[in-house]
Amino acid sequence: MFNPSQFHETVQRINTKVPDVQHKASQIDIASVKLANEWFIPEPVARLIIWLKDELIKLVEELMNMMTQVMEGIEAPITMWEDAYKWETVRGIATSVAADVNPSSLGSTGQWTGDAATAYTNAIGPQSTAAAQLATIADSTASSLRSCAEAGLAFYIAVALVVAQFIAAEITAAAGDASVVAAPAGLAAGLAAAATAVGVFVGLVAAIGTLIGTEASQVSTLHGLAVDSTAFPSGRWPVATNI
Amino acid sequence: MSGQGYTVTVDTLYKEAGTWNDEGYKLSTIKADVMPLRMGGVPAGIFEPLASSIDALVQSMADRASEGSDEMYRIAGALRMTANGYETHETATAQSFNTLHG
Repeated sequence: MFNPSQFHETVQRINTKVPDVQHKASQIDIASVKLANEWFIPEPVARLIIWLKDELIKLVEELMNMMTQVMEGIEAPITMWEDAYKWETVRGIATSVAADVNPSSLGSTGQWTGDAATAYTNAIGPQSTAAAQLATIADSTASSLRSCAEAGLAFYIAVALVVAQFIAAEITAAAGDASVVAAPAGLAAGLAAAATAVGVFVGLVAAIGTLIGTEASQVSTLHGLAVDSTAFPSGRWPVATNI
Repeated sequence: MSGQGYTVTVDTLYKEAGTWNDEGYKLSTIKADVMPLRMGGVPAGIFEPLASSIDALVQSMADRASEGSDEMYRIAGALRMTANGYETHETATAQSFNTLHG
């Protein structure tokens, strides 16, 4: 179930954590370079520290690039959730039209007979079917939008967790630098944890991409129903009149 | 033509024309309601594929609703024309007897 306030909280959590990722990365950068230049650090160890630091910074950049990509559509789940309700309203209107113009419920039924009445009744039959088709499309569109909004919420909650894990990895790396002696080990542990977080992020982006793709083709199928010849001859609203 | 004759209450036809008018109006509100549901134009990022599909769907829904609205207004018009026809015919028929016996 989509929860707008939970969504806003998640967005806020991400927004406050992202600058932290970059801030910690700068600290690690500065501390690692300083450490590598200390007189008591042997050259091979210094090179190792710089290499580990550079790899970590690459991961930070990778994460930031992906964040930019996923943050671009951050407002979409809210919009989709709100739009789902509006599509339900459209469904309601279309359903009422379908019921009101059903030949069996129209007032003239039984009161008007003869050739003209028969011609009229035959001509108006498809009107109700067409309106019912609009209702079906609107209902399924609302479902797709709700699914995507819910998936979007789950996705961004997971993104917030990954960012938190990444920050934890940076803290491990920074602690390594601070300990001096354990710097390479700490940086390596931080790098490994950061790589895991980025890997999870890549998997998340792929998963939401697949899900959105599936819902998008579902909506394309609905678009097909809006031009389907059963309800809409020649892809248009059925014509009942000759005037 | 079946030639089986007919029964009609002209008021019923006028009333029913009113129903079609109302329903035509409802379909026009569907058009107005769906148009703002386009998702394109704002950055949708990872949701972009859905946004494109939704926009195409919105257009078709708006088109069908608009055509449906027009058709229902036309049905209302056709019913009124039919009712007028019955009335004119009735008046003319009455007139021909009135002339004979007037």
